[in-house]
Amino acid sequence: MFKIDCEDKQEARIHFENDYRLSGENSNTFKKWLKGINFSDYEAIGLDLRNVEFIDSMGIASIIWLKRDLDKRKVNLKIINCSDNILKILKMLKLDSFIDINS
Amino acid sequence: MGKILVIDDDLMIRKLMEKILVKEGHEVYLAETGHSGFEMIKSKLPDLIILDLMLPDENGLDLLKTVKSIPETKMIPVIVLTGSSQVDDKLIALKSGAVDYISKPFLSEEVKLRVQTQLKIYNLIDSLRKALLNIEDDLIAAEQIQRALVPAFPPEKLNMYWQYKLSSKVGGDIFDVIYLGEDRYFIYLIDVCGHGVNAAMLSVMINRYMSRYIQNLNTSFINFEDLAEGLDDEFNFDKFELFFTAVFCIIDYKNNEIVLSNAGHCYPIYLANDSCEIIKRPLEGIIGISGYSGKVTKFDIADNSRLFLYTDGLTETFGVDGVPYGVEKLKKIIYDTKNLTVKDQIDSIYRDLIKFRDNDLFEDDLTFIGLDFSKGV
Repeated sequence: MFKIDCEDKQEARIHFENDYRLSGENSNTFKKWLKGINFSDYEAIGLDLRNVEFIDSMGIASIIWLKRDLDKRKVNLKIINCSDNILKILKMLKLDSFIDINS
Repeated sequence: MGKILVIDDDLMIRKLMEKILVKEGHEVYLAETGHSGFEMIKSKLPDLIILDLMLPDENGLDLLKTVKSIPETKMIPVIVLTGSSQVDDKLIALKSGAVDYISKPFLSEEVKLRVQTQLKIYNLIDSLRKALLNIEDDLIAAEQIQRALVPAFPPEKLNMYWQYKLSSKVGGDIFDVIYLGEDRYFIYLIDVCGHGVNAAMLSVMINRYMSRYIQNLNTSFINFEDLAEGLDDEFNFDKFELFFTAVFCIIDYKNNEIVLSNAGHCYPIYLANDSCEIIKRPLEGIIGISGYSGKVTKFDIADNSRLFLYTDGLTETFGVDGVPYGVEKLKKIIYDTKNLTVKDQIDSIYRDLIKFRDNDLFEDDLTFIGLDFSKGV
């Protein structure tokens, strides 16, 4: 469902499988998976949303949780490749002032 | 260990089965005919049935079908006993609801393993069924609590009407309307992220916080910066790992103005002077991550105007073609139905939404509030 790739040990990228729906049904699984990763090994994390076709409020809560967790470890988070629809939702919630977003 | 009923007309088979199963610690009941077996099924409600297909008084397949047709017994797993040549019967039995078969002659180890496997599956399914019933009970309780938080009817002076629909999963929509004194009314509409008991619980806490906050005010004014600071502190994301959006509104008849503040919530819509406006400013971030500071916008109440507040259960409802209802469609239909009373307008738009999605089984809570400021209403 999700995987983490690391190209240069400093920056890792989290990917989702095709047509993924990050929603209340699976946001806990995503969060549990995130909790099993030692993010302190990295300087920056890219959350690649290119394959995420839908996100709901619980999906957004899991991203906020990741951001808060990475802040505590002084690791940067950047959302990358998100669709226009998802970008619109993130902007409506003003999350673009909280998380670095590159559409 | 479980209660197992063996139905077979062959005394040797019954006794052999009893010996194998009792040795494994099971409680074993024996029946010789289909009729006595069926009576025992009803009285003992066993955890598993081992059923011979060749019974003296009736076809074992008929008994199997009867067991599977009765609500009280249909969940009981049935293993059929067949002769080695009865290939068709095995298939028919499996199609009729048997979970497995044992061919005669059999080894005691085979009986032990097949019974053990089916009992394990049966117990797992039973645990899941009970857990689901508990979840359903919790959701019903959460729904009742959430419904109790919203007002039954508006204050007399406000011409206000709403549709408030909770989804089967129970989202976190709540709203309230409170008289502040000096002809001022405070309305808040909140959407807690997520569904189920957690979201409902947070809704209750927010409702209690807001009630306390208003009770402790010494004036009929609300300092939104103070409210924002208090909410962000009390409902910090790190405490609950949940967030919420909110729209706050003061209807100030004394100064003939509306004050709006928006924390990541859907844009209010204002219908006035033959035009319909989506109010996008101020829009701040969600509550819990310091995204909301209490900025407000104020505007005069125009005669015959209307204000609409709603949650994303309305605009983010998807139609059969996978396209969301959206705020522009909502704005258009509000304008098109402006000649209706606010009650008829809200009901009419709600009906349009049901038509749009082809059913009224909403995946998220839906709150849609309309306020009419016509003079003399």
